Amino acid sequence: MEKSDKSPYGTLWKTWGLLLALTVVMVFIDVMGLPRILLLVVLVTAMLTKAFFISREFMDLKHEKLVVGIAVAFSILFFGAILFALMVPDGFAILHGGR
Amino acid sequence: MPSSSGAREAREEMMNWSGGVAPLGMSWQKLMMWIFIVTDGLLFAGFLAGYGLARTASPSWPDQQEVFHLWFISLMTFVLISSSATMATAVAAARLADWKRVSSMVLLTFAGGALFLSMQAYEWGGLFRDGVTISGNPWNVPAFGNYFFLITGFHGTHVLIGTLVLLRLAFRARAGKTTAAGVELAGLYWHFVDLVWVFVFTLFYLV
Repeated sequence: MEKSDKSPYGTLWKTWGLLLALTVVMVFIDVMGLPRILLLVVLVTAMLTKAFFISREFMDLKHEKLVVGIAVAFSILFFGAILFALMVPDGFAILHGGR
Repeated sequence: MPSSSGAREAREEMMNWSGGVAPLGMSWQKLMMWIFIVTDGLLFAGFLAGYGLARTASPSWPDQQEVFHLWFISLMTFVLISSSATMATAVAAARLADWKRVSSMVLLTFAGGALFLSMQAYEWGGLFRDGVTISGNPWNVPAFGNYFFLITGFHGTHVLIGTLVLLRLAFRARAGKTTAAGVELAGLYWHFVDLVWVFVFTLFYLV
């Protein structure tokens, strides 16, 4: 309760530490040479975790109405996923079908 | 009053646009910034999906650990994440009306952005010397250079625009010409630039 004006800074720098720790872990996992699929799953999970904390803590979505965060995340992630799902399989088709 | 009606009211409150001067409980300026962020995010989603197509369609892809100095890129990531943290500190300070801290933190954020850009220029220079250009590279995978310079170039342009905004903001904050809401808008844009880099760093440099 006392020194409540200090607390916003504390949370921000904790988030900073978490983001850096995740980045270091990602780079180490990358150079470790995991199997391809496992590497993809781990890295994409860590990436989305970082995105979550940046938007929640730094962009202050935790203090906005929940629907704002849902609208933003859904728009970008859902349409991003659709784009990937529509386009990337074509890449395999081009590679193997030679068209 | 049963407690479920309170929950329903809270739910209706959440779903309610409210309209007027404060749609979704925020200023229209902030709402417009969020709409811009979504559209700009979709632009990068399109670039990254195109890169995904080019990469899966390509019989081979250069080994990133061979092309890039991963420790150097990690350092760039460190610089950008740290600048995001100083920007968040500036926004928090602006809410407490601590304008001296706002000004110094925004200047520090600007310095981080400028350092990131210099590091990117250095990285691009190294790649040019290795023969990696937008049209060709030693591994004969033209799509690699295409997408690399397209995506990092667009992101770098965002950083460049951000640094100009931040520099102006730092002086305006010192002169008492800006508001907490103004600092917050600049902050939202800057965190978005950091957010895009999280995706670019993972999908282009690591995967």
